[in-house]
Amino acid sequence: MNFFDSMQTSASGLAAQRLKMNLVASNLANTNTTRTEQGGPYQRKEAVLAAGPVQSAFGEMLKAELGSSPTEVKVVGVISDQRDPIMKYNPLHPDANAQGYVSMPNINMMEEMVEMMTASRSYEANVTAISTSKNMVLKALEIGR
Amino acid sequence: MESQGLFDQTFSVLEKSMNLRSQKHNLLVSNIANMDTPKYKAFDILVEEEMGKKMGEANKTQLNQTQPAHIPLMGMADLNAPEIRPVENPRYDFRSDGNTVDVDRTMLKLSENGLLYNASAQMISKKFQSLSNVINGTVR
Repeated sequence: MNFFDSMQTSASGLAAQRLKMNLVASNLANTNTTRTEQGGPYQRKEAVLAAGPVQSAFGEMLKAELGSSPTEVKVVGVISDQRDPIMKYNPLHPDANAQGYVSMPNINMMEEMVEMMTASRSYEANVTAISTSKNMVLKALEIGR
Repeated sequence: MESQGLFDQTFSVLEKSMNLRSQKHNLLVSNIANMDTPKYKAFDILVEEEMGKKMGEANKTQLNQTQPAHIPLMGMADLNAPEIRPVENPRYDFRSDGNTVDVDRTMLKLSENGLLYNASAQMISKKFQSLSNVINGTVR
């Protein structure tokens, strides 16, 4: 267990938050997308986070499995939100059904904005943690100078 | 490191303090990284308590190898390892995802811990410097 493990942990936090940010951007960019490769309208994407041991040494991983050791955050998957699409009446649209309704992605702007702010603040917290780690290492290196 | 004579007890106390603080730092960092992970439980080390506890009873309990075939205790089962305890639940738990990280408190602990670590490092550094002053007979 050393400072580089702690920096790796923070880096995993940065990566996870950045991925969340990317998903928010993709959700916001696709608010009006009615065609996807899977067919149907775009579905909102969300990241699933899980805690896991720092992938460095066997002993650390064992301790993490036993319960109480530093753990980094991992993105275990990206899920598509399964909520129903919004039906919008627009008979001229090429993707309209027989009744003239188009399935639009069910994306709530407020929800995405909140997600974006949270991800950004969490990112900042991890950056602060890294700079604290760095300061501590530098201070330790000053011993005996 | 047991030290005596020229290198008095203060060194080992400061060393222990730095060790504990760096372990605490690792835990705090992982709490911060996992502040959005569902069901993650926050952990912490109470450094002050560990410092007081370990001075007296550090060498009391030990496992001896009485047979050559005994498996030696490796670092994993360190009897002197600090007790890692879960952070007690906040009184008003408004999170529905089972996560117990309190970001504000954790950030505060992080900076406090970092400052105290730096203080210990500074004190060790100064002690070495005064030793060097004594040895050389000059004040630099």
